[in-house]
Amino acid sequence: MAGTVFDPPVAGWERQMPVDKRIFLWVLLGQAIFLIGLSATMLLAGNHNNPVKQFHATPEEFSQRVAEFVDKYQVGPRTVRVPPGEDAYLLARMWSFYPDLILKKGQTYTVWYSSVDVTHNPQIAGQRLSFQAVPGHAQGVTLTPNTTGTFLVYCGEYCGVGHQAMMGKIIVEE
Amino acid sequence: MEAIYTDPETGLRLDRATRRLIVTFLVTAFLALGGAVIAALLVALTRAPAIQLLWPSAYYMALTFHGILALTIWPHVFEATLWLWACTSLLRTRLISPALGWLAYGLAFLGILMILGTVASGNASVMYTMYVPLRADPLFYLGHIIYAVGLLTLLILFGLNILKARAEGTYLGSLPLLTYGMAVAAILTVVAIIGAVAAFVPTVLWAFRILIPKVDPLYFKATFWSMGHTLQYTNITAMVVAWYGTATFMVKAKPVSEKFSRWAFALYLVTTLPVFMHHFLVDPTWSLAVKWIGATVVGIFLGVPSAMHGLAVPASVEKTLRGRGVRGLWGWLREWGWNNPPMVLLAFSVLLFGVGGFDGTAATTMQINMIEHNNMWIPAHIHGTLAGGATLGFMAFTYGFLPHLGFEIKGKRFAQYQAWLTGLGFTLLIAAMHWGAHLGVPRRMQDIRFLGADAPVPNWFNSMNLLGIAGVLTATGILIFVVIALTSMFAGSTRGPEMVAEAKDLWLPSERPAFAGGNPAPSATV
Repeated sequence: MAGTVFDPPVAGWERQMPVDKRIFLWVLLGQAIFLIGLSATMLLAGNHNNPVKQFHATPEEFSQRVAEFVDKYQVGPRTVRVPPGEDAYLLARMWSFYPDLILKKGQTYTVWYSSVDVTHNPQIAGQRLSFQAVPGHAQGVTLTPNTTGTFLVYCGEYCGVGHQAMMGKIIVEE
Repeated sequence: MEAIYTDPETGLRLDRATRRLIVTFLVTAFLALGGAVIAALLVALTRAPAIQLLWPSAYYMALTFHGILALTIWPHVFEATLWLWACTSLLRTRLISPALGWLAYGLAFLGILMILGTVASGNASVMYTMYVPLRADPLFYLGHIIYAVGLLTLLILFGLNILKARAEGTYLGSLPLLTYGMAVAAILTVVAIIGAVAAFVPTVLWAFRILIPKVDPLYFKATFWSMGHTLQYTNITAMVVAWYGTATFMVKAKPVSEKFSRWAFALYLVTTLPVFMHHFLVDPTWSLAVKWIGATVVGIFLGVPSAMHGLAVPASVEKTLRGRGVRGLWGWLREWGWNNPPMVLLAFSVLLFGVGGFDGTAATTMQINMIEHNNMWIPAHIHGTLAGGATLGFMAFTYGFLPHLGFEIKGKRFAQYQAWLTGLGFTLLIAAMHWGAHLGVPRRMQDIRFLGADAPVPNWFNSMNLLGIAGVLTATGILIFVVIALTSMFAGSTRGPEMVAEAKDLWLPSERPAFAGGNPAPSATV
């Protein structure tokens, strides 16, 4: 009495897994452990990591910081030349990134992202660096520009009907 | 008098009340799939820069429709039929309460109407992810809650029915593998609904502007994904059930090892629960160590049960075909059934799910997430796992399931074109998405020409034009499927019910065991 094609064997299946299936299982687990080891190595010894830096800031507090930063280093209507060694600030809002940053090639900067309205995601065209700008939370991203030029900054997180028009720029000078 | 439908192929029986419920859920699911595909067509044609069909507000509305119909509605409504079938027909029993099933359907349907209505009104173009503080119509969030309550009602019915079957001893020994898989899916869904309560209850109050002035965006994102990504594992588990089901319907395949397959199902319960954490790899939250354990380690272990099923299902087909005298190392692959639509769809489903799964695992790595986050890599992952994987798997299952319910498949020749068109279309679509991801094209972007930019705009157009072409091919394939499925169902059943006086359970008279009425002692190994 085996029932229909959908029924399991009445008894006995639970006793032991056949040897070949057990080997498959161990191979898959071994692969998983290998990949986990690889990812740990990349975190410990790789040079493409970005340690988490963050602080809590209400939109008003963060806007205040950005305004002070722009006042101090402004060189154009909405352009700021960031001196090497100083932290930079990038304010995301519907629908622009403020201000435009001028960085120096080969210098390491921390750029602080946050938003005053909804979640945004500044992405740098062609450079593929992508971190979130979340209202209420500021996030510091460490980067060292290695090519000169003008780079488009656009938004990667849907933020309303003007999403596709949300832009800014980063200029890297020699 | 009782109306009982018997499938002569499998010997399984179904009572009229349960069958009506299953058919209603199925039709709803196919309509949702059709809607998702029409929205997908609009989205693909807008993303192709050569056409750029829609203006921003229309594009974001179409994309919201696509995400919600394809992720929130179609798979879960289809799974409802699997749950109903797995807890009745497979266990040879009838529903403990069809009324509870109709209540579940009514709530789910009301929720769906509220969600789709608010999106159509233009006040809820917030995407599938709806990250607060993006604000949608309050009824949009309320619709999600009602829909979830509907699903929960159905799961309660599913659980009660298994208990009923066990108490009445209508099945022998262990649960059938497919019921076991759907039970795993049910547990995952209940856990996901706990996440949904945490996400949606504060949010609906915030949206109605009562009590809660502000919902923290990171709190919402964490709770949303503890629902959202766990629900994707409901879809994946149901997809695997559909794989086993298709192999059984089409070639009468049996799992190569019950224990192996059940271990794989059970592992989903362990590995999927902290799965939401990989959404935070580039967010201002936990330390790198926490992100590594919660995202990368969990993400890699997640692949193990899926890989087990991905090996076990083709192996079951291979074993069956070899048992029928197919020779050679690859002979079973030649005899797979490349002119049989469900087997073609099954093969594409397993392969594309593998591709999408690899994308997902890779994206849980910190360093890769920094560059692939929110670009076309993510749609490539979703379309591999859920569209190429789950949707094709469900479509393959449908080709076996409709005849099982007594509906003859109409337009068999179109079904063949449909299977190849959809499979190859998805392959091309996912390839185009990977190409775009390699260039860094952002997802959910209406205009990649960035009109008005005062910085150089990268040339990404070829990859996105290819995506447009692939989108049209795939959408055509799935629309043909929807038409085939609906016409087959509306043509009516070819099988009449058998009128039985007060049947206590759904055993065939010939197979009624001598010890019916209690759980039997294990007799012989079969």
